[in-house]
Amino acid sequence: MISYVLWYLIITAGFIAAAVAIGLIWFRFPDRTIHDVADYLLPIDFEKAEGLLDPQTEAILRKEMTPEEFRALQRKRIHHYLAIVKRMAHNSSVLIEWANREAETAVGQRLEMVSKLQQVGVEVRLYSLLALIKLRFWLLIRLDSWWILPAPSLDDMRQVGGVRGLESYDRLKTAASFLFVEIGQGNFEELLQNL
Amino acid sequence: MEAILQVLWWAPLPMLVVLLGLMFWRHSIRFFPWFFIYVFYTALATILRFVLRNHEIYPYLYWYSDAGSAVLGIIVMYEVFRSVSYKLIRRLWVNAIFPVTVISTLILTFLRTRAVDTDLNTTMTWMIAGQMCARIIEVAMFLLLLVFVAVLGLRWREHQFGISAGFGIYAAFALLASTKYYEIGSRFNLWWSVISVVSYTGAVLIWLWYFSTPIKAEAPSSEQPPLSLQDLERYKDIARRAPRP
Repeated sequence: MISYVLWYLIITAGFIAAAVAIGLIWFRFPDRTIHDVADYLLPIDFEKAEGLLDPQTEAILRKEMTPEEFRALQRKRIHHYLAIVKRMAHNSSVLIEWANREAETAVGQRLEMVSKLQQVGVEVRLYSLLALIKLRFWLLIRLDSWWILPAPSLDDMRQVGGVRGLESYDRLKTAASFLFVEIGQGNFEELLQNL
Repeated sequence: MEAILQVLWWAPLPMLVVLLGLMFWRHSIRFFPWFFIYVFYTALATILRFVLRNHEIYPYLYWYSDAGSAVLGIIVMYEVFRSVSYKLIRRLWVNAIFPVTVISTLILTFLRTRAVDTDLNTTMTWMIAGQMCARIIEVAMFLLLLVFVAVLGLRWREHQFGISAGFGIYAAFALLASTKYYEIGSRFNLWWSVISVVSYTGAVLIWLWYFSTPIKAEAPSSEQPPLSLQDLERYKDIARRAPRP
């Protein structure tokens, strides 16, 4: 019975995938050039992100608060980091689209820069998507309010799926900046401000 | 009806020959050698089938060549998977995805074929089961590459996606047809043929569209650490001072 259901599920998935592929192609952003980057990025407060993942800050909070207070605060901190990771996922997606567009015409040194941006962009996207799953799982099973297990530590989010999130995002900023300067037609300050 | 079926049945042959020509012309062979072998093998097998279409060995030729085509299809899927995973995610755990998919598919096919009573003989049973197994892998790889496009930003215009989309769409239809053929038996023969050949023609058209554009060479990936923001500042200064046309 299970094999029967699984079998038809895979066949159905094949048909759905074909429809999704058509949908993705149809609704994609048309031709993301350098002029369609900075305006579409969502600014990230990097210092706040660092602060949320800082183990020392978390240790102080644990020490100075009652367990109930800390668990309630930790849930808010998880939501805060979730919002940051969502922005990371969005920004990396915009930058990958731009890099993909540039890859079609770039040659030589510019192609190397584009490849670097694609490579780091995928890393950040992978991190953010795995981190989103992990954070949502924590929120789903309300690990913060369980007394049996300790409240989750946001320090665990530093590295997910073998990718160090904030370091990778920093490299993404650098790679995007290099390409921006290389092409030299966009507003560089606006890019740095929005990343 | 018979004439239309005959046209449909042999229509992929000229298209496969054109695809081979395109792959030669666009130098795509060095990027996808196994896909080229697959197309070459399928074109050759179709020519043989056409020549021997009225001969008594035709059913054997058809099913055995189809088995070879299914095996080559799995190898092509691995080629596509390797190429995409190397480009996108160079993590050790990613290498496990393909073998896990193949093993899971083998188990699922075994369980599924054991659970169904069929009027087909043992050899045919194994042939159809093997073909279904290959189709499941092709659908799974299409799903995986679609995830790579939607989530990780793989370009939908990449040839890897085109190859797996062709295989995946054909495999979904062929799988449905093969499953029904396995369950209903030889009474489903006509519909099985129509669904298989129309979907395969669609797949070849997808490949033709993708391979009509040349494959862009990737930039050599350096393992050096990324440049720092201080380097960027220096670079920015140089870029500002440099005259632009």
